[in-house]
Amino acid sequence: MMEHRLRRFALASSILAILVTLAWADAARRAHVDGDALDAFVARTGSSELALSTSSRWLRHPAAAEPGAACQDQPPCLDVDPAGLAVGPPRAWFTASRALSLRLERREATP
Amino acid sequence: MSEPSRTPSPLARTRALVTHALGSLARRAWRNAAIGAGLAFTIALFGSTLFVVESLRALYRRASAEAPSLVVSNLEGGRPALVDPRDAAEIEGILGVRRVRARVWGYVYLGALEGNVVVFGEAREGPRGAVTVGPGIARLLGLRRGDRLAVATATHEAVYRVGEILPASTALASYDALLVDEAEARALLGIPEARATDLAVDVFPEEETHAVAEQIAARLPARRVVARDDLARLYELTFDARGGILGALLLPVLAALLLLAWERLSGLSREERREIGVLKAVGWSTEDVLAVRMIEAAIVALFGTIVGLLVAYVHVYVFDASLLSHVIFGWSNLETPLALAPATDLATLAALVALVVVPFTAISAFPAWRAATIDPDQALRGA
Repeated sequence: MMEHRLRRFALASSILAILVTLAWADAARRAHVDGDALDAFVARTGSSELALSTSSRWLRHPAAAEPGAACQDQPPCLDVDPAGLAVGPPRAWFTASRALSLRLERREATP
Repeated sequence: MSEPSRTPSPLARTRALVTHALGSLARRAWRNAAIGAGLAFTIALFGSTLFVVESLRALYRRASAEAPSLVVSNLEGGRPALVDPRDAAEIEGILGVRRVRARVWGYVYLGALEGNVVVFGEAREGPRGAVTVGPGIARLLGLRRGDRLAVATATHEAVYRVGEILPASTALASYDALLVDEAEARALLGIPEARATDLAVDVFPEEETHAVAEQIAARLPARRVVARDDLARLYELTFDARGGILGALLLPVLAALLLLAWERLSGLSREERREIGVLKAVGWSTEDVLAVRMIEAAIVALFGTIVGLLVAYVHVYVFDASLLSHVIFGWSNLETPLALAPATDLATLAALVALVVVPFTAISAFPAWRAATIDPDQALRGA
């Protein structure tokens, strides 16, 4: 009975060890991704900023954005790209905001 | 002939204790599985956050190595404005400046994507009509090499031929990028010939970067100078802040796990009390009972931790952190997939273990001690 328990424990431990080894090997493979292409893109554009929040310019290029301009893209919004929000607002908001900008542009262009 | 010793060797004793602990775990398999699953879940949540943050940090370090040492932009009335490329000549005269590039870039709203894309101008030879597109734009619009892409702004309309699609491995920097000839970029963005978006300055040796930045600020007072180090610090702070907020939000999960473990481990059943009573009656010491209980907790902690780390690994690197990416980075119209490369070191794993496993083990110690100090007579009488 004692041997049986130890054998089962050893089997479970071995399975976990195999899974850990597989994850380790996978991590080593993924760590050698093609970083040269990224280097080439940064050298080509001179921009190393990450595309994590593409809708918001002050998050897309924080170094170039107007300081404190959290609402420069979507003026009606209080905080248009908050972390911690799992569900975004309806996509129609973008269209609505764009339509508003176009109306304003036309109004300004009208003599 | 001497009497053989009745004291078992340390190895045999440990083996017997482990075997007994395994039997005890098996007898209360569901209870221990629930605690192990709770621990694995908690480790997976904290581990996913740490893996994402560490990978992004490593990615940014890699990307920033090729970035210009300084970026000089113009401010008018405290707001970003176009720079005069003649400033480049002023900057080139500073000792240590190796190269100054006037960059032309900006944002263009693409109606088809309902979002802004970043247009970069680059000096090219040959026809102006070719465009290099980022992997996100190509994927969302279904573009392939040779396809046509129409871009219209308030001042300019053009149809480009897709000459190149940037590789997916660059997505976290180039997902929403459009690279066109500089003259085309000026036309799309409405930037006149005598202006540029900003100036990229390369400094050699790198140690002179801040000295050069000070000289630029002295010679061109109305300009904003951002050093590569400043930007790297900004990103580090952003990643730390976002990861930290999420970590703080997960603390109630950790508290719930510890509460569950405490409740489950401290409540000794009648059967357990009787078992401990029998063990002590046949000669087991308090240390032996304590050791068995701690071995049980250690086995649950070990298996729960490893399973949790494996789940976190698969979640972040196989499924692109799909459950956490929105929570960490919010939403985005052109949502970039977090195809990350592992970059977690042993120190980070140790921090995770210290955060979750150490409190779990500590909270297991008191119930173990209480169980070990049961009076065998009372336990066997069912008191």
